[in-house]
Amino acid sequence: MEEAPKTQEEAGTPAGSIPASRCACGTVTAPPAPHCPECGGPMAPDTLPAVGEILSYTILHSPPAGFAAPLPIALVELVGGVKFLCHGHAEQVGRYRIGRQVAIEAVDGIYYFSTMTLRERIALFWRRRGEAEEKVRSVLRSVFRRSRRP
Amino acid sequence: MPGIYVAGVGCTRFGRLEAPLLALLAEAAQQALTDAGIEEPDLIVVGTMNPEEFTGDGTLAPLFASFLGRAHTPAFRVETGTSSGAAAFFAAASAIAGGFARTALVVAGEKMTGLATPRVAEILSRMIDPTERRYGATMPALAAIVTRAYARAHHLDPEDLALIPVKNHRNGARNPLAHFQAEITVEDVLGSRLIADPLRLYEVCPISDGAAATVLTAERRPVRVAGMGQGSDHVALRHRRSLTSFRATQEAARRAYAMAGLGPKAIQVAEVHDAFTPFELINMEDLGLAEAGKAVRALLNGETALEGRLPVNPSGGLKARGHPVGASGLAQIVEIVWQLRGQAGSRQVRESRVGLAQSIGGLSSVNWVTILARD
Ligand SMILES: [Zn+2]
Repeated sequence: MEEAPKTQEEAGTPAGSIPASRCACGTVTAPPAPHCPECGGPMAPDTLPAVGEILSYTILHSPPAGFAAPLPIALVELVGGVKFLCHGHAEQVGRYRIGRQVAIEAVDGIYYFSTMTLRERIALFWRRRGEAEEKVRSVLRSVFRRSRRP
Repeated sequence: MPGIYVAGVGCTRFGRLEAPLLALLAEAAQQALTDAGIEEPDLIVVGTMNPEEFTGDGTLAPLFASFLGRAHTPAFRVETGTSSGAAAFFAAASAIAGGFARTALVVAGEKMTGLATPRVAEILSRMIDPTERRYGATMPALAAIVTRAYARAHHLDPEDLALIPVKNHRNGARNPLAHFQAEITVEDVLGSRLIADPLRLYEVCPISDGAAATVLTAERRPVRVAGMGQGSDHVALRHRRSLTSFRATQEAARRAYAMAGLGPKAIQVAEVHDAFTPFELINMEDLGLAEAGKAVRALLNGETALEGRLPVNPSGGLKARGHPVGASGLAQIVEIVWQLRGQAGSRQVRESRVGLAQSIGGLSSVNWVTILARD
């Protein structure tokens, strides 16, 4: 009997995947790069599961212009040892530990790691989806109203 | 290879200074030329990181040569970020070794305090990989990430790491040129505000003005350039092999030791790049002055204090002497020369014949090691 395809949840990639790039020499980078940082060769598109382990982190109290303090920044080790720099959520800093498993997801093109439990992540996923649907509905409503203007 | 000798050295006071950049460079240069007894060097090499943005000065080498009244002396500028002073020294020494010059003036400096701190931080952050900068990574942020990884790997407490700025301020209090000349306590360090957790204010170097200079010659003098080496690594922290050591220092040290025909055991005094003070321990290990994870033991035992077995940063280091970024790599070399000559006043270490200076460019992407010996 054929196995049913695994959902993302079952495959261990609850928050999806991260775009990456792979070189013939074996080097993988995320975010993707056109040229290999190790050998300079061309890199092909790849993806990595958006989960990893905190290698180290800081909470920046004097962030540069355009960022609010405190700003958590971590270097997260993804599958295969790829190191990935991303933001954390300020309200979770008490839960940060080196070696802690985290999920990574993009918000407006910026990657955030999250120490949330699976249940919390699912709740957040549905909330975001709800917000997205609400946005679509409001756009449709305004288009509809405009189309009815005399 | 013909010998390369340090004939003269000079250094301005470091700190928040009134004088413009060119005047600071000239003050250090005149001291070094007078000290060397050389009036007309064949070559002038200038080391600065970013005078274009810090002070609005450009094409600094001919500008400085003219300021010094040497408009017709060949002059060029070298830049490797925060290690520019050491890079300028390397370039001038290479010219002497290659026979392109018999004497060379190396002068390095920076004038940073004319700008507000956020603007200085922004200029310094140009040394960071653009992708990582986009995430708000600053030099202290990346240094904090390295510090946390290092402290965790070797089970170091904040109290252990706080002893580094305490030691370096103690040395700086004996250095009349230092930016900070007051001693501090472990409580001061641990009570200072967090800049980038776990790094606190007293673990981060200040923003300073200042300049240093050396005169090099092919003629025999008491202090010789025994070894020089450079090492490079990825600018991006995420591409580094290790978070608890710096490959660029290891490679620079390997080359410098090979040229000198010496090993780490020969080093009697060292100036290392402690812009973020926990890096002093990482640097010692990368230089082979301590085994991986063991540098803290030398610190706790007082071995790296002025009167210890291997004094580290007798000048006060970047932390207490200050860090006018372009100047620091050369100021370290000047300090080693003073120590080898026995001219370091109340911070003089016991009689030494071999000293080492290590300078970090960026977050350890372009580092230099220079070994000096008194014959
Ligand atoms: Zn490659």
